[in-house]
Amino acid sequence: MIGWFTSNETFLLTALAYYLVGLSFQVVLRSGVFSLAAAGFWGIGAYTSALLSESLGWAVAVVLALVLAGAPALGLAAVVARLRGLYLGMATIAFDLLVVSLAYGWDSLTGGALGLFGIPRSATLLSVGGLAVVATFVVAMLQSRAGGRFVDALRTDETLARSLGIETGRLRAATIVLSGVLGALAGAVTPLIFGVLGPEESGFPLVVLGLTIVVIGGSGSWAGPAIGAVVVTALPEVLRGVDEWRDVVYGALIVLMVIFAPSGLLGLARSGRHGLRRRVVRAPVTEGTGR
Amino acid sequence: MTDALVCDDVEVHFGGVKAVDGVSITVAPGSLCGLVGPNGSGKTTLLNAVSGLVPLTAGRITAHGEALAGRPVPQIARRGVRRTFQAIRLLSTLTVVENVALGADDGRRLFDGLLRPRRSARADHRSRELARDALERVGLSDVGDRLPGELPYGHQRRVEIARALAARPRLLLLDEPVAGMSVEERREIADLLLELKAEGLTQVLVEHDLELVTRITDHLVVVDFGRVIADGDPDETVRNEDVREAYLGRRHDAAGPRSHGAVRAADGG
Ligand SMILES: Nc1ncnc2c1ncn2[C@@H]1O[C@H](COP(=O)(O)OP(=O)(O)OP(=O)(O)O)[C@@H](O)[C@H]1O
Ligand SMILES: [Mg+2]
Repeated sequence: MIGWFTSNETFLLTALAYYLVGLSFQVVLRSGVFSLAAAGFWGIGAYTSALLSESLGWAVAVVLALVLAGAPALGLAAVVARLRGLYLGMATIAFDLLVVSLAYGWDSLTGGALGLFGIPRSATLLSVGGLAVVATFVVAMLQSRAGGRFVDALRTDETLARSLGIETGRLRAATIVLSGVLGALAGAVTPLIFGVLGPEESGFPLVVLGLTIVVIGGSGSWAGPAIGAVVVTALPEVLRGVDEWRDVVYGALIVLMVIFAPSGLLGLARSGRHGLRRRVVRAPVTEGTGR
Repeated sequence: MTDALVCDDVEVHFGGVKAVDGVSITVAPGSLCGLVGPNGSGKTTLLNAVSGLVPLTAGRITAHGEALAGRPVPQIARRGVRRTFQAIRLLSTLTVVENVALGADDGRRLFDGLLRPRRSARADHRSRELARDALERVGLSDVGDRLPGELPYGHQRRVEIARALAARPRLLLLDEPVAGMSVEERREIADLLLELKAEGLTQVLVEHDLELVTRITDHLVVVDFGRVIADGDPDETVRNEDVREAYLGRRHDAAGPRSHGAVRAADGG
């Protein structure tokens, strides 16, 4: 057993890093607050830990990464407070691209287009696993009981949520910050796993990765990104030899999941357990227009 | 005693549309007030104004002596002003009991699940208890674990009422709560509203069925084109000439089948 873990350490560490990316997008998709800024915060976290872990140790570097991401996340949440849906998505992607261009442009700090090499590979299953457990605990507790009902209400019908007394403004802001901090955590551990970091790793491809993980696994709870991360980490192994087709397979997978299992593998497992009860989805009708 | 709800010269305009155009209403505590009027006369908009969902163009609204207008929607809800919606607004992915528990949850305690897990566990227990009580009141004791989409339409409407009741409101605004229900169901809900009144709950009921409205309300307000055209004792009010014209005259066709009850009551009255 232990032998399996050590011989597959990179696979597991990759899966854990992907899981954290997925978790930062689960928070977004479950609450319907479409902040895609986690990718930008991933970059902030990644460069922080890549640059500081050698001198300060990985633990301090990771904490600093979270702080350095959390503060601008609060600012971002305030700036985009009035944006919804697609507009929020666009504004936060702009933030991601800003971080990417900073990584390219700030040569002296980030190594520019070449990136950073020789970062101490200090990530262990214990350290990254421990951080993942803490992150999972935070998300699971926040989404437990009334907290889970609140985010579901926010996603489905914000007007209704407000008329039930839910402080949706604060909930939206908290979601943006939480997603950002989780993204930064994912970013912080990643260079400690691979020892290298390039500016192209964050930004749009990371948004796609995060969304893929959650679409495959499901957004109902932390278990969705856990499932999704394992699948996405294992895919390159499965597709070895047909590397050039990988993106096509990703794309096809997403399309198939969205059509046939919109709540992901997690949702499939759940509806299997409930004996495939019929779910009638009723879209909220705009008030004042009658039935 | 302070009035449960006072609307003072309330106006809500949408661009050129004067949806509510100078409405003044006073609802006494513990009373059941009917609000009727042809389609598009501004009933829902007035409820939206009270619950804070649309901004007032002019006027004041107070509930239990406290000014509501200008306050954020969640604050108004937490002051005990709760409502149902004309269109069903249930969360299709939550069970019935969870939907109703949302009414009882304290929407300020967003992070208790993490920061105060024991408190949140207790609050959850309480919310579910209130939810089950409320479901029992609306006659749905056994469907708590189902999804709303699995229930017939009339039962979904009851779940909406239960969600408002689970909040233990001081003022309940009901926007056509029995629309689309069978005669039998309508009578059951009417009985429930009378029971709630007997317990001292103040209610504003928007409903097209004048027969039902005149039977159970203490006080009837009739609006047309965003203005109050009659206000007073329900039976006298439906005999009012303007009211008869609003229902029977020019709007007869437009009002369609939903005003059949109105026509009958107005004729019989
Ligand atoms: N958000 C809005 N924006 C623009 N116009 C609106 C809006 N809400 C309502 N209106 C208009 O205001 C008027 C009053 O509508 P309202 O829904 O309040 O009527 P109602 O009395 O509830 O009618 P019904 O009996 O059909 O429910 C209508 O002309 C409607 O089109
Ligand atoms: Mg209406």
